[in-house]
Amino acid sequence: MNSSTSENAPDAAFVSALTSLQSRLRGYCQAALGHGEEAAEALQRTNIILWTKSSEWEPERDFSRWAISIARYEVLGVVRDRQRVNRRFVFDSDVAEQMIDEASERVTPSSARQEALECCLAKVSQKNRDLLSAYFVRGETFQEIATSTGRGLSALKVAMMRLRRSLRSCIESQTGKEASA
Amino acid sequence: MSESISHANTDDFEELESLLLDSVNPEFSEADCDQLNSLLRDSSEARSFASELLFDDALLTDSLSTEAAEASFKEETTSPRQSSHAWMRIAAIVTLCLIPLAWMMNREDSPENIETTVATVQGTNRVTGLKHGQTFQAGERVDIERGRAVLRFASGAKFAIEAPAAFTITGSNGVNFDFGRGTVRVPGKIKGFTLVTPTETVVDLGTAFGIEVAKSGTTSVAVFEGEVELQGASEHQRIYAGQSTQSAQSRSPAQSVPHIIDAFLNTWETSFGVQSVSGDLRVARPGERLAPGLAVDSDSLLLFPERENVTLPEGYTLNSTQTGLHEPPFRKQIEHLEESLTVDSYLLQYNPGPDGISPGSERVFTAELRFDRPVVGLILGADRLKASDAKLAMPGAKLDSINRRGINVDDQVELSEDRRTLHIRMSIQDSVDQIRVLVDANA
Repeated sequence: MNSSTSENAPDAAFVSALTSLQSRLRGYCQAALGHGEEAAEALQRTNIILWTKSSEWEPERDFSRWAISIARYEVLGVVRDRQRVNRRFVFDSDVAEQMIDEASERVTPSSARQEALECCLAKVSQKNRDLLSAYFVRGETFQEIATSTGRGLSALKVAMMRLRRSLRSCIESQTGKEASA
Repeated sequence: MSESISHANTDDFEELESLLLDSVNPEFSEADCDQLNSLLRDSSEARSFASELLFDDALLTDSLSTEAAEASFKEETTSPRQSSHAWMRIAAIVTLCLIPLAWMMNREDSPENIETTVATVQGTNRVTGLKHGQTFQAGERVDIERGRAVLRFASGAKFAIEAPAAFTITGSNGVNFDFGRGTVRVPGKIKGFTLVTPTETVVDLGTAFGIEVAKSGTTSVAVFEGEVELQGASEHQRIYAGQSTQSAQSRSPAQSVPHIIDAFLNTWETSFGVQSVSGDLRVARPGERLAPGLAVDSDSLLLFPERENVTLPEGYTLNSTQTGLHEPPFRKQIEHLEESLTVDSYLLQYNPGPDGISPGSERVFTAELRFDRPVVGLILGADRLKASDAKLAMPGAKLDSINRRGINVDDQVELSEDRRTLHIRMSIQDSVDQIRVLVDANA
């Protein structure tokens, strides 16, 4: 019953392609399903399917297009499963379907936006990086961050919104610069 | 790629951005959710804005996580010359994203892993043949003739088993289950715990479920939370919370059967590290557990297992970490953790509902509750209960619907010297009583 690992293990080219697409796959799932556990579940399901189908992929084939088509199927699967057990998540199913279409527009084979983001992130102060890490990496709520840092709840939220706005603006200017170069 | 939303327009979407940020907060209400959906449903610009924001947040999460992992690799690298930025980056990404995946897919452990511990006995209850703390390597067989036990696997999965039972541990995330009755729970993010029985292969997809294998091989599965995949037949079948199946022959599809879970309740309790309960207390059943704010029982105190493996930072505020008798008032009984602790949390509650107890009447409930690991903290006052919800309550617990939490003036909670037993006496008046109990997750 168990899958044999040595015979089916993906090769280095596949692992490299999957690794470099992780951020955009996560972005696709999150843009379609929101910040909650549904996006993480869709990403995990996508990774599992890709891994099990690794022998079907040939390096000449566009990996990102293939992977994103599988991600779309898995995202739809998560929405369908939530509907089946009548469990609401952050998006209603009709909105989720609209968001899936938006996400498909958002994700591209290019990593330019990610590179621009990293460039912009390098300009962010340590205090603000700590705020971003607490929220996005450690998954702390604003209440928890407020408790641990002694900052006011609404001030934190305002700071986060400003920070994201300036990052967005920086990314747009970076990607615009590259496009015109 | 669709055009980015112009910067001027982002002001129009301040409410949308705020709702998206709050959507992971346990206090995000149904009304907030309705408003978020309404904003998105009505405007393609709003959807485009939200999509870009969520996409960028994912890139941000990955960049920051990779950076943190790189920093950790840097600290562990003995010679800086041997590492390059690119190498660290790939290593970090592979560690974050793909090693767990590869590990999950590799259900047969490699020879070098055979020697390592893959499972540990976390708790026992009148069991013969197993000891608390006993460790197992892949390939070891377990036979129990009496009692119950819970094994904690290296993957994070917990397998509670009731005698008579026999199984072989196949690795850090699976067993070959010959016969017996048990409950599997996989509280962390790693999924894929696999039980191979004579007639079925049951794979966890982020879940809690009961499984019974008769000596004939017939396998019954009842899913309590999440979903599992049955891989015994050529067509894999997914089954979901509230569904049950039976597989009588290998390679044949499982049949749906009525969802009756009573036979699994003992191992359900054991899987949470509850060794025994007596008196006016019961452990919340599957389903009830997820929404303590909505669960009503006028005849019993209810114990709700909450989040597991939560790390509380040094300085975290509790009402007590001491053994002995605890009585209200708790407002000024405050202790701060001297070092960070990883805990499993339990909410003990009495909620008779609106018709349970008439105002002015009073009943006394007494109970004894024993855990398989030491209790390291108690949260007893209403203010600390509320403050700790964000970290310790289950998402969607609906605790915000409860007023006047904590316990009453005449109530008592006593923690035994060995820290494993709580004696509870609650004089129930006309409000909801609650306390939170924190157990050492790593003991």
